[in-house]
Amino acid sequence: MKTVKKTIVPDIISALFILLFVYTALTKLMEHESFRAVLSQSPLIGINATILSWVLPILELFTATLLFIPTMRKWGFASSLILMFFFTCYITYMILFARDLPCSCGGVISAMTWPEHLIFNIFFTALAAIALRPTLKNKLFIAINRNSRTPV
Amino acid sequence: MKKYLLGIIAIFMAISLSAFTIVKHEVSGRAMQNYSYNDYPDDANINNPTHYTEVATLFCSGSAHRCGVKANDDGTGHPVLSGAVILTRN
Repeated sequence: MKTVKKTIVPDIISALFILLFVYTALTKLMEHESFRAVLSQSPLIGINATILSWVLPILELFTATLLFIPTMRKWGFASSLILMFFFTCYITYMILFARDLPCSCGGVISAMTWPEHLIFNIFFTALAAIALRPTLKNKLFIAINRNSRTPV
Repeated sequence: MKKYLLGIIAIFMAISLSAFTIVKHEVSGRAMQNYSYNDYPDDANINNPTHYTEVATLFCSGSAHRCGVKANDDGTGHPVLSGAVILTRN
């Protein structure tokens, strides 16, 4: 039962992230001009909007690919955590400091308000941290045992 | 194959969802446009399409007055207000 639990939770979390990243990347690529226009109006992004409008969806698809391959999954979770952390910081900055918040008005996720989107992002950031933790814990366990030379 | 099953299901769901939400926005073969309401904060002419101007992006935060709409074009550079997405600001 414990072995099943150990694998099923990361599997479900990785599937959720694959769904999230593939969906958002495809939406951004299919409505690319609208996405680029919204990014260009952000005070934080400005002139880097064109580059970011391509880099972000490609990064999301790359992360989804890492999560899809079981042996690369831990790198996928690490990448997910970094991406979600930066997205969360961006939304927090916009809510706190931006005078007018742009409306991208497209897709299921964009139908949320900015505060709702922030809660959504915090949840997924926490999920990525939870998924990453067991893989790091296992490595520590192995290192301790190698040092002490006691059989596992 | 079992290892990849959840991932494959997630990918198919993502593709279906994104296809569904893109199709929803395109009515009469054209994507919806952004139109800024010219008379903000006066809401007297919110139902008159000639008081809207097409813009690339809209900045609307709040709920007090009409800011603009996301709608299809009526062929004269003005929005079709029925079925439009209403946007408001403070």
